[in-house]
Amino acid sequence: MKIVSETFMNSNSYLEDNGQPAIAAMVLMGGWFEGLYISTQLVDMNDFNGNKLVGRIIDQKLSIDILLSLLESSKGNPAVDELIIQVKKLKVVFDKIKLTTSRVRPEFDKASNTTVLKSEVKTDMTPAVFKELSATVAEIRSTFVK
Amino acid sequence: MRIYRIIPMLALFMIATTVNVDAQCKAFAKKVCLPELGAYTHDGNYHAAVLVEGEEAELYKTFYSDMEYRVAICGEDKLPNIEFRVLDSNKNELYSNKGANFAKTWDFKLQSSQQLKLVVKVSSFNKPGNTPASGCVAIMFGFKIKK
Repeated sequence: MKIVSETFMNSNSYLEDNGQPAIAAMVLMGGWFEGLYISTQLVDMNDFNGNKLVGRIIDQKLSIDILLSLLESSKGNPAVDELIIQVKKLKVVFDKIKLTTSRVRPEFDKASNTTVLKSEVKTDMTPAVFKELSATVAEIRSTFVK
Repeated sequence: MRIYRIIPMLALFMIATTVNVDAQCKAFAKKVCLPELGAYTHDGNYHAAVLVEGEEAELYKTFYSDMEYRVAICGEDKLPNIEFRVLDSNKNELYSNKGANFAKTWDFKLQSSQQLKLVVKVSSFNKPGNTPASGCVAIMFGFKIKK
């Protein structure tokens, strides 16, 4: 896992360094989409409530605006412009999911010398919205793999 | 006059990207700051730039529950202390290294995933009349999956 992650990330860093930020952004987005696609396909709808994988998929809502900003920094490239359109379609679905986080309370754990940021999150994602998200991801991904 | 540089970042599952890394500072980040991550797996991003005394930089990143993180922030020796603060989405301060003798690293984990903001500031030598010191400042993130 460590080798694959570092290889992927170092490749991305290489593209950035060599004046290819648009390609770097597209590669990154492609990886993110594929991960999201695989995850949504793996969810067993009979085990939806409290499913950790569903939780991690919902977490991607936190990143989609940053993803769009990343792509917009390479706006003007036709391939990137097309990706922006697709990501905005996905954002429409993510915007239907409400995420409410309680106040964050940092607590220092002496045993592990680590700070735990305590908070609780509530979400109102329904199976119907999840299915819409899953279908949208699959549809967008199919345009990439054509 | 303080200059704010907002560096948008994307952390996805376990991947991210970088924006505008000065090549010389990247070498500094790799050589000096990367080892500070210790046993944590580097997330592949090199966030490094030349900053001047008194200058601030901001960075946004999404962190996930069920993972442990280390942030390492390093400045070249010619710079004064580097202060960094971590804020939540409501701008509440969660951590400041000022109270930890300007420690270079901070280990943390989250009960629930969220986007945090890091504010990095190069403090000042307080020597008016001197040319302000400038040098590379690198911000590195490492992670490990919580057992």
